[in-house]
Amino acid sequence: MGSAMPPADLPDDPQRAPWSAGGRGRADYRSQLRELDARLVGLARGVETIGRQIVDTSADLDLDALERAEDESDRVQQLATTLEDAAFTLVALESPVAEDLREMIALIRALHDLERTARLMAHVVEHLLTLQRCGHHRLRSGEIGQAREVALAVFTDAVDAWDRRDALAVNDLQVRDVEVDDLCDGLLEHGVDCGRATCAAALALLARFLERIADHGVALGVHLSWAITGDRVLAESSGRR
Amino acid sequence: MPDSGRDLRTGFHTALDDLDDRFVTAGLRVAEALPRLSEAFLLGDVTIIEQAEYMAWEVASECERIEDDGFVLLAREAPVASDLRRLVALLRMTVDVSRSASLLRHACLTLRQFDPRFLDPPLRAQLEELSRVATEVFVAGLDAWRRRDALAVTDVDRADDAVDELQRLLMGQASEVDDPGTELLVLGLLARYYERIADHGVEVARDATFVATGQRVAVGRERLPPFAGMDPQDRPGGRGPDDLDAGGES
Repeated sequence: MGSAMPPADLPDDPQRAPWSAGGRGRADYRSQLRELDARLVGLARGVETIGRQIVDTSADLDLDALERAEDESDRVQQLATTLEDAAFTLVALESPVAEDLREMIALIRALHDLERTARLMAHVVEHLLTLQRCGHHRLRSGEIGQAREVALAVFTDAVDAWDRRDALAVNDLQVRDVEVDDLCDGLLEHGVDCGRATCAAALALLARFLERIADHGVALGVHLSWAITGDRVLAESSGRR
Repeated sequence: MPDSGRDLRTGFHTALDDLDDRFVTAGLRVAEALPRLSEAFLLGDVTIIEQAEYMAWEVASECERIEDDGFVLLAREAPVASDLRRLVALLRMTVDVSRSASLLRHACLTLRQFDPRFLDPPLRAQLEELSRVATEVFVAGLDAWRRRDALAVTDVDRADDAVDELQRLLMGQASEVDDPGTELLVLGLLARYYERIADHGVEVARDATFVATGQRVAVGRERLPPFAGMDPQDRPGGRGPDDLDAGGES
C-alpha cells in the first residue's frame, strides 16, 4: 500500500504554486484509496474461491473442504478488519469530501459485505455436507445446485462490476437476486423427504444463506452505484440499503 | 476569553455525543421490541408482523442516518485516539443494531408459515428459553456500551455460548419429534435468527472494550489484530490504531 510519501513522478519544486502542494497531497490520498480498492478486490476474489467449492459438483464435499472454507473465511475476516482500520484512519487523516468521501465510505461498507459473505459461504459448505450425508438429498442436488450457482453468480458479477466501476450493474444484480429468492423459496416449499431434523434445518439455513449471499452481492452494487453517482438505489432485499 | 480551539472541539464532542445518543436510542428500540415481540410470537399473534416490519424499517433508517452523519463527522473533524475509536465503533455498531432489528422482523415473519402455539410443549419451552437468553445477551451488549464497561465483553461472550448451546438443544429436541413438517424448517431458521441477534450483542460489547482499550477482544472464532500483516510504513500517514493512544485526546 502506498505511504504518505509523494509519488516519484512529481518533482519537488520549491517555486511551485502553493496550491499544488495540496494537489500532491490529494494525489497521494487517491493513490492510497486505489491501493485499498485493489486490496478489496483481491479480498473479494478470495471470497470467490470459497464460493467455487459451493458450486463445484465434480466431487463430493468432505471435511477438508469445510476446513478450507472456514480457514479462508477467517483469513478474509482478518484482512477485512485490517483494511477497514486503514480506511477509517485515512478518512480521519485526509478529510476527503464529495466523491472521494463516498468512495471511501462505499469501500468500508463493501468490506463488511465481503466479511459476511465469506462467513456465509463457509456455512453453506457446512450445511451442504450435512445434506450430502443424507442419501435422500442427492435427489435435490439439481435444485440446490441451481440456487447456489445463481447466488454465487450474483456475488461474482457484483465483484466484477466493482472492479470495472460499473455503476449500472446494480440493476441486473437486483433482477438476478429476485431469481435467487424464488429458487430459495422453492427449496423451502419442497421441504425434506427424510424427516430428519438436521436435514430440515440444514436445508432451511442453506436457502437462507444463499439468499443472503446474493443480497450482499446486490449491496456491493448499491454501494458502488452510490459512490459513483451519489444516488442510493433502493434494494429492499439488502439488509443494509 | 474562551479558547477557540477548545470551543471547536466542544462542538465536535457535542456532535459525537448526539450520534451516540441516537445510536443508543435505536438500540433500545430493538431491546424493547425483542421480549415484547418474542412473547407475542409464541402466542401466535400475527398482528406483530406489521409492528416488526415498521420497527425494523425505523431502526434501519435511523442507523443509516447515524452512519451518514458519522462519516461526515469523521471526515470533517479528523478525530484521534479515543474520539476516533468511539466514532469508528459507532459506525460499526449501527450495522449490528440494524441487522438485529431485521433478524427480529424475519423471526416474526415466520408466523406466516407456522403457529408456535401448536409446537410440542418441550420444543415451545426451548424456543422460549432461546429467545429469552438471546434477548438478554443483546441487552447486555448494549448496556456494556452505555456504561462504557470494557470488561463486560467476557460475560456477554460467555452468555452467547449459552445461546449457541440452547440452539443445539432446540434442534436436538426437534429431531425427536414424530412426523415433523414445516415446523422443522422454521425452527432451524428461528434458532439461527436468535443466535445472530445474540452475536450482534457480543459485537456491541466488544466495541465497548475497543473504545476503552484500543484492543479488539477475540470472541468466538475471531482473531483480529489491527493492521495485521501490514508494514508500518504502508499504513496511511504512517499511522494506525497503534497510534490511537499516542499523544491524542483522552
